[in-house]
Amino acid sequence: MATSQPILKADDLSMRYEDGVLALDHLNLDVRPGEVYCLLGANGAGKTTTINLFLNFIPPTTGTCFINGIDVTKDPLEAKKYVAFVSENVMLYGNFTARQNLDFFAKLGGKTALAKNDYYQVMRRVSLQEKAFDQRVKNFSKGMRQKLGISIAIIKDAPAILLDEPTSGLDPKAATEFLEIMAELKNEGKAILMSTHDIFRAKEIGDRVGIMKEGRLVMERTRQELQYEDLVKIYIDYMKSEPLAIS
Amino acid sequence: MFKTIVVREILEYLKSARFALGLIITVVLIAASTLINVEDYVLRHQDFLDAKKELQAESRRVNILRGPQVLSILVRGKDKDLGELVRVWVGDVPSELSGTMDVRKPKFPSLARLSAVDFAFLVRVVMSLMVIFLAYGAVAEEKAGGTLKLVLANALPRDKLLLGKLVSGLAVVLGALAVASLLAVIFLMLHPAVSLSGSDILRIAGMMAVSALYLSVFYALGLFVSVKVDRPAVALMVLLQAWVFLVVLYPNLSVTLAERLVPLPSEQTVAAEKAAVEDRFRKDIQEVNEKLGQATSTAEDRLRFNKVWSQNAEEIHKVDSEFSRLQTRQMKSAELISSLSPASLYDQVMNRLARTDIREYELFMEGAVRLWRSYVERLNLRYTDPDAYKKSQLPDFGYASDSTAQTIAAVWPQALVLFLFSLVFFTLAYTGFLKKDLR
Repeated sequence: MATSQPILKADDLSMRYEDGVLALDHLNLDVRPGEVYCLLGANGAGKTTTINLFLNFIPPTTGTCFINGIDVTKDPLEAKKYVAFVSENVMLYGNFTARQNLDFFAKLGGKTALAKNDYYQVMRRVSLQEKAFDQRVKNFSKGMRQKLGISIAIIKDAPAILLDEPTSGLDPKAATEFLEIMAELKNEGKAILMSTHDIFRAKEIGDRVGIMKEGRLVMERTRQELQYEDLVKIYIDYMKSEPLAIS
Repeated sequence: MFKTIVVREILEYLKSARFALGLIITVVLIAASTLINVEDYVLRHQDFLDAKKELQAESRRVNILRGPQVLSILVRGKDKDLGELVRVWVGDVPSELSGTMDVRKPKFPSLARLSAVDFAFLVRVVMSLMVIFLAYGAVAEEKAGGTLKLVLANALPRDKLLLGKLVSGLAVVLGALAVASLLAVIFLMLHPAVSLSGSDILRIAGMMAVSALYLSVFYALGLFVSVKVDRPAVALMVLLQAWVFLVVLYPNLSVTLAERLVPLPSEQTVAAEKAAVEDRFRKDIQEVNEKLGQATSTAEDRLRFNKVWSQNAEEIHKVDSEFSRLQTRQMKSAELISSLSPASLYDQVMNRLARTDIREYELFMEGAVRLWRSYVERLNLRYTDPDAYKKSQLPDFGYASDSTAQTIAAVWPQALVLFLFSLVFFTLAYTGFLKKDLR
């Protein structure tokens, strides 16, 4: 497991929405270079809220998110230079081809001097079919769009990657391919924070796995610890347990 | 990064079916309407020239003809609705245009009925709708589709993204307007029977600028609604309702409000006032009419006939003028109330620029009244100083239209309000977008 300074760090992070719902309750977590952190939890547990806070899509009620040591709330634009994002449903610009989408997001990510071949290379790396490179994205399957989504993250070459349930809805083959790419990125030293419902794949790829319930991180285990524990049982036990007292 | 946003947005619009469809509809309609309106103008102009010749042959009568305005091809305004002939005689001060010239049969009778559809109408209605269909999804579709999150996960300031959307949207909308306008202007310039002066060209340029401002209002409004409403279908519904209110309902409502606020005397009241004037003159009129009918009538009798009839006409004209004054006040009130509608402001400016508004009519009528007075004066001279009468000539009818500079001075406040509308809607969109919850 990586031991250097964390790239992603949530420090006592809380989020209460305007309607009074406490979506996140004093969350503390960090992800270091070369580490995959999987956040497990039911719908509404606070996984997506955590990612939204890291991306400054919403301001935290209390606490701080750091990306590469930069306070996201104070300097969101600088912080976002060091993070790439893959959503649950990568919906790209349907009227544009895969390469055009990649080109657009690469430029937004600050990569302005890439050649056509660079894009092709990245798309090959994620096993997108060659014939799809210059096809309009509107006819792509979900698996193809997710691959393109991870291409966008790869081409940005940011030290941190946030993934919001990226394998949900993918067929097993596509999900396995997706996780293989994650493993490669991890080996390249990326800090990866991934929210997921998929306990088996979380155990397979995660260096650390956290279980969230009602906005709280109720459990955290390392890969080593999970060798001796049944993650499925732990997860189900937590989900079945009494609701937490509202703070 | 800004350029990247603008280029992508423009390409997105250009690739969309709704833009292609909107552009094709606009271009076809503008081409068709301009062709029909040019044909209509040429016929009306020819009719005017023929009628002028015929009237010149009637040497004993003085008549004034009002020719069609060349820019009515683009903005019909009130040009065709008002009369075209004033018959001048001593007993009636011209207060409204009366009668019409013989109507020549148009070459395409069924198409000629469409001549109310002009460039201004197409911009006001069709293009503004097209703009709404382009703008409603600018933010809402990206939010619903998830690309907004993907874009803003980068180091891209939100204000830059929204400004990019505004710039690209306007570039596409104004590009479509430029294509449509160019087409209309080419038809005008290439037609051998249509002659445009330098002032006309300037006015056309003004019309295009105001059209651009008008369409910008709807794009900024679309952007604002698209920011505030997350679901594209709901955003479109809201915008269509706003469009119906601003373009159709409110301008009519403002007329009704103005009628309530500045009521006009009824036709019966005006008729009664005129009858009272006629009653005062009835005895004198009967007397001069009888004397003139006698074989022994003298020059003095004829002079008195002229004086009694012209005094009667002047008194009736006062009643008419008072009614016109109130009518103008009511119209100005309606214009003021309707200023909250970009469509009304647009109409006001376009009609003024095309010289097809009520202002042109008023200037024409002022000229007609001046000519009537000269006519009466000269007629009296015939019986007071026949030699001087023979040497004198009735001045040619003429009136000075507003110069282009005067027109611009008159319309800039409305143009400024249109600009302010755009600014307000964009500012609202901007502040809304900065605070937008991207969950």
